[in-house]
Amino acid sequence: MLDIENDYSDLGFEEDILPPGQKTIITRNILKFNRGMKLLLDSKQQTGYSAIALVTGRAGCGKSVAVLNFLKNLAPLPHTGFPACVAIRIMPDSNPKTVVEDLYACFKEPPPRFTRHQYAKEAAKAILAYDVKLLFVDEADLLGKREFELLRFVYGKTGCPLVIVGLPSISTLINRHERFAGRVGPRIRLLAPDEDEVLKTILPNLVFPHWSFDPTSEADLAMGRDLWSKARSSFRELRMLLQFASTLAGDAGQERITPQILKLAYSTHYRHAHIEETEEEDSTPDPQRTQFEVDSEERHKAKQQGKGKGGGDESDEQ
Amino acid sequence: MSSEAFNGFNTDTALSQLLPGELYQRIHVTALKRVVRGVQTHAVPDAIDVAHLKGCLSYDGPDSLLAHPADVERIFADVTLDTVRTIEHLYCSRLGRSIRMVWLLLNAGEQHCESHAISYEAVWAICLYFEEHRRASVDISVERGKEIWWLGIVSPDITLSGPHTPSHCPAIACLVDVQTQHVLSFRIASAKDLQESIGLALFDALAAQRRPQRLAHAGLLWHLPQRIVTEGALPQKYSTLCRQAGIAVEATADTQPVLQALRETWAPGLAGRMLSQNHCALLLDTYLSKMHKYGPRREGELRDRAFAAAQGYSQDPAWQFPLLRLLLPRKEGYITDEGLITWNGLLYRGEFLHFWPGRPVTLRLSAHKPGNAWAYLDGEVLCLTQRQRGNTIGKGEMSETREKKGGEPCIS
Repeated sequence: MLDIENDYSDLGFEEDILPPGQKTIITRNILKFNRGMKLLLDSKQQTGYSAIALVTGRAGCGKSVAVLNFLKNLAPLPHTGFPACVAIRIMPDSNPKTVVEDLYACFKEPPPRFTRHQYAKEAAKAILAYDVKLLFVDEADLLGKREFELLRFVYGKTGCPLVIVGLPSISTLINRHERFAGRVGPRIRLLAPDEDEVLKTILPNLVFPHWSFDPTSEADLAMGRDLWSKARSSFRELRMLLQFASTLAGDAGQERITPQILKLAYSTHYRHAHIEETEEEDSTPDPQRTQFEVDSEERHKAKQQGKGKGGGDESDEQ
Repeated sequence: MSSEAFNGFNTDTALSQLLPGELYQRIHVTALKRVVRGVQTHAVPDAIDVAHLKGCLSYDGPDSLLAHPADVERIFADVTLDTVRTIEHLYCSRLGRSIRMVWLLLNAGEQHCESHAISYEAVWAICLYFEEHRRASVDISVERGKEIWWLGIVSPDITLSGPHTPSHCPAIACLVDVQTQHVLSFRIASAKDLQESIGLALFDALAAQRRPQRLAHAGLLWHLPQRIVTEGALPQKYSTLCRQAGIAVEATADTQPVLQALRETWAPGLAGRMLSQNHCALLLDTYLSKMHKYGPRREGELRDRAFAAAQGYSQDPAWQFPLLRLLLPRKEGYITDEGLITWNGLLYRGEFLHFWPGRPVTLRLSAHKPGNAWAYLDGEVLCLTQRQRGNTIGKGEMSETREKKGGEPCIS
């Protein structure tokens, strides 16, 4: 018999698997996504008609997490042993063969031997054989013309609703493929969470060592606002900043992440580095900094000064 | 056919000359000796009393089997070398024609070209003369195993529909190997066609047991089970066939775990669904493959690929193992004036059909190649026919498509 739980974990990428203790935070985006998928499934069941849905959102807004969260909550079908919905993630330089191979991998099955003329047929056969009710295609902005044709054939042959997930630019890409675009129905746009949701839902539920957030504390709220502004409205950047802040707090022996630790974390993030440097010129050195950070900062300052003198001598710097 | 009948004119060649009288005598004596030994006793001509022959042989020795030269001349009147060769061709083939059918064909051909009829006794004697050659043509190599197969019916609460078939609730005939709990074969059909699908499930399971073997007849070794246990009674025609193949049959009220799993897990998962027959078969095969480690259709595809180059393996199992033809769906048709068989608006062409215009025939539709069918005249195999494409009568293309769907294996 299949070990569904272990097998299921292989469906996602390591990047998308949440660390131990971290539960999926049910954001408005996830609720919106789930509603859209339910609509798609119910519509197929009640009317018999299928559709292709398009889910777009900026990088890091939680599209893949929404897909995985949706899949995680599905029980395997008794008559196939697999969940009714599966997801494939488009690889860089993908082609129809790799798409079909990814699809077969969802079912723990080696792809059958087929010629290039049989890709679409084999993909449709797999969808029918496992009674797939919804196929997610993540990172679909990497799809090419042939892959779009493959997906269109599979959709037409099986009547299985497709959910195309990608960056907002994918709308333009799809519109170029008229036959595919004509079949796209619901378009779901995942937006960045607003500050209110970040402060009340996201930050209190993030699990990191040394991180605690009290949404009723003014100090925490101020820190949260600052953090969110530095994360440039990206869930992933917010997570990355906290990831490094947590490590820095551990290195410095701090009990919890403080605004000072967060500032240090911003400085590790290239996007915020120049902001922190200008701020730190006036501030006193942080006693909790590591030697590496001090050395790195000094080297950087020396480089900047050298440039200010009119180019400087590179050999001297070396 | 003899070359005379085939060409429609008398040829004055060595082939059309009569044979020496001694050769006719030798053929006749050989046939009598064989029938005394019990070969083809059911086809003995009325003029021959086998019991009397046995007595003569034991009291007077082999010479007592010699017939009077005048009688031999009368029996073998008009039998030429060409006739003998034609009989050999018609009789010594894996098609397995009976002696009576060979005689009918020969005389139908002779009548066609307005020649004299050849006596049944002559044809019978020549056929028995070639008995060893015939055996080499039709024999199969069988390996008897100790397996017990279990036949059960699963009736899921689903509706099958297709573009050319009315919606119906299916009954799935499954054949299980009791020891391994593998479903060896299954067939999906409407409840009213259950008998047909039981036959086909048996056919598939038996066909799946053939393996290439260099020294075996026709290059194939057939592995047969010891016993078939059925949930409910097996139709009489299949019970008879199993006994002919040396397989014991018994009925039971019990069931097998894999069949129980199908009824309690697989079928409820699909309850209330409307599916096409192909989709249903695909789902069942996938379930069996994933959950019970053996999907009969997938395994069959792998076997076919592995043994594709083996001698005889890719041929129709019903051609290689004539008894299997009795498991194929039986349809009644008739021969048209053009010498074609018509059934359900479809036309089948084959050898010798033009000899019997207007006669009813029975078709056994091939499960291996949907366009083929075995034609039977008066219950005896006549020829292998092929469906004529693009030339249907009555119900037209629609009928062809419908029959194709019904006869084709579900996973192409």
